[in-house]
Formats: sequence, structure tokens, C-alpha cells
Amino acid sequence: MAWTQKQLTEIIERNETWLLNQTGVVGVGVGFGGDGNACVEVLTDGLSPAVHRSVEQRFTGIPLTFTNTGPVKAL
Amino acid sequence: MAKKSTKKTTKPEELVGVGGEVIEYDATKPIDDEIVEIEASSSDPSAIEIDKDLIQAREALEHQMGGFSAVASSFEAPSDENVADMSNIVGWGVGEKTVGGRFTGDLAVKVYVAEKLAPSEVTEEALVPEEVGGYRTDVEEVGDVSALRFTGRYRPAPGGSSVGHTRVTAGTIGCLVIRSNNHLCMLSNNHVLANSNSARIGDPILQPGPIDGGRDPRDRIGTLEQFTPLQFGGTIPNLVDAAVAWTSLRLTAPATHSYQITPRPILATLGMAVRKCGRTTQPTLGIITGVSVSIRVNYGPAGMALFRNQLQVRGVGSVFSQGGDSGSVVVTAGTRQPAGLLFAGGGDVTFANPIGAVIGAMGIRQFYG
Repeated sequence: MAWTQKQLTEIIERNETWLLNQTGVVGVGVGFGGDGNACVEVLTDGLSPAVHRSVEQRFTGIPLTFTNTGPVKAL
Repeated sequence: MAKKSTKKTTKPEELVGVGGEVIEYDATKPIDDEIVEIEASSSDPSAIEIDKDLIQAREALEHQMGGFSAVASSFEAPSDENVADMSNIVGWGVGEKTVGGRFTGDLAVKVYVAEKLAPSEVTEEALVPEEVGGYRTDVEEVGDVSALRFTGRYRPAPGGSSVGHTRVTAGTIGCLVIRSNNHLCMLSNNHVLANSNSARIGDPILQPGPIDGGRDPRDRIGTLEQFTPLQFGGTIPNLVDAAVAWTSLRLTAPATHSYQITPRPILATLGMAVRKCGRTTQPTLGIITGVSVSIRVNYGPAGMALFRNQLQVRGVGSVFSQGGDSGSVVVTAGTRQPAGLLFAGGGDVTFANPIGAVIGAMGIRQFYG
């Protein structure tokens, strides 16, 4: 089933603090998955495989994608 | 501090009756006097009349030297000799002859070069004769000429132009807005106009920004009117990186360098096609690829700042933004309606504040399109 933006936003709000405390995670939001549907998009800067697995486990059953943005800076 | 005065205007027509008269910034008289607006006018009594023969002499010299096709050929096949060839020629024109950097008052056929060299240091074909068609020639060094980016000085300055507080490098003028106090203001970021909380209300704002040659007071385009303080430390969330500077229509233009903004803000949605016009990457197209984004942003010495409920944009065909584009207003690609305020980026991803949060934070009554 396709998740709604509202459902995903609520999931992000519940998990934001935990996610942003993970080493290598710089951000999280509602983005596009490979199937074109909305998903949880985790923005990263050198995420380790261990943290990657940990995030996947926490979001089991929820559409999830990772994007390596590197450090995000004010432009 | 410079004494300021204000003037009232009722432009554009549709604003009359909406919320009162728009109040524009009016810089001090001495600063106003330094702004020179150039208008083409055939009746200008100070204009110098140029003899048709002089124009013909200039065309004859360009033809004699092979014109730009010879310049292009010399770039493709540089001279083997240890001398400058036609690739040193930048252009031909008519202007006042200079000697030792001083104008002589005499008109001449000008040849513009990247580097001025002795006759013995250039190839025969690139050698400029002393005279052509009875007119003297003048070789002037102009260096390498490149297309002017949006880092130049403009009056009035369109959205997309370089701007900055006196102590920052440079960012971008987003657009013009009318605040609830009826002041006409330019919209940009806190870290562009308010030096990441370090500025004081009333500080001068320069166009172009200091890194692009802007100097105070010569290049003042307004004064800092309001900013939302950034919360650093990475725990207290921010919603916007926004600031406004009081300005006037004589100093700042409603349109961007590339398009008019439609003054009807819109809620950004996932998949929305957008564009922006910025100081560094100029006009670019993108797609909103993320909403409700929480992101930690590095502000250099000021520290890290956490932002919530942000927009994420990816460029179409090119990166959407680079350093110096901060403050650009992200508008819908088709209708040019404000949807976000660009402020940060990482990799090929750009982040923007949702325009609704910016409107609330800055007390914007209306966008000025």
C-alpha cells in the first residue's frame, strides 16, 4: 500500500530525535522512493553500515530511502 | 549613522486600498548622488558626436586584422613563436584615447587586448597600426572579459543579484515584499542580510555583496529591517533563515534577472516543478523532492542549526544551487509563485524554508510582483 504524506510525517516526528542522534545522519524528511511513491528519506553524511542497518530495523515495514548529501551548509 | 528620510508611493495600482501606502526606503542624499543612472538619449547635450568616418575606420581595422574569426583561429592554433598572437585581441571599438591612463580628449579607434605588450612582443598580424583611415589608434588593456554574472552592480537591482551585509561575503536578493508596516523590503536570509544574528537593525545592506566588490556607503541598497534569530547548537529547531531589508523601487527591482514573480505564494508539494534565480548559478530548474524535512545545517563559525519542516529540491539538468545563491526565492516553474526561500545545500540537494513560515516570520503582507 502507498503511504500518505501525513502518515510518513507523523512517523518522522516520532523518530526524528533518535534519527538525528545517529552518527552520519544529517536529516530526514518525506521524499520519493524508487517506485515513485512517498517514503521516509534519510539524509546522510558518511553513514556506517551498522547505523544503516539500525535505521532499517527501526523503520521495518515503512518505505525508506537513504541519500548521501554529505555535510549540509548554509549557502 | 546616516540620516534617513522616507517617501510614500502608491505603486502598483492594485496595492491601493489593500493596506495603505507603501513606504520606500530613501537613502541619504549624498549616497543618492553617487548612483548614476545611464539613459540613452539622442538629445543629451553632453553626448559626443562620433564621425561616421571614424566608425568606418574602426570597421576597416577590424576587417584588416581578420576580425573575430582570426581571434578564434589563433585560439585553435596558437602561434609557435614566443610572442602574443591574435588570441590577445579582445575587441575593437571607438573611444577616447588614453595616454598613461589619462584621457586625452581625442577620439580614436580602440583595440582592446588582454595584455598590452611592446610591438616586438606580438605577431605581425596582431600588431596594431599607428593610424587607420586618418584616425589614430589606441591599444587598451582590459584583461580577460567574461560574461557578467549576477555579481555586478545594478540599479535598480533585480532579484537574483548579489547582496549582503557589510560583514558577509554575498548572497542573493530573493524578491520584493511589503511588510505589515507597509515598508517595501527585499527578502533574503538572516545569514546574508543579518550576518547570522551578528548584525544590528539599521545596518547597511550592500549590492553587490562585499565579495563581489560592494563597498559601504557607495553600494548601499537598503538597511536591515528585521531578521529571525537563528538558534544554534542543533537542539532548538529553526523554521526559517530569513531577513528583510528596507529598500526602494529605485534601488531594487520587482522582477528577477530572468522572470517576473507572481505575487501569490503557494504551498510547496512533493513533485512540484520549481525554479529560482540566484547570484551564482543564476536561473535553474528543480523538483521538490522532499517535504517536512528536518536537517542539521553547518553555519561555519556560528555553529550548527537544526531546521524542521523544510523543503528539499533537486536540480533538473544541473545542480539547483551553489554557495552565494542563498536568499533566492524558489518559485513554481510555470506560474512563478513563491514557494520557498533557499538557504542551504549539501551534495546535489538544496534546502528551502517553506514560504508560509517565511511570511509569518517576516510579517509579509504581500509579495511585490
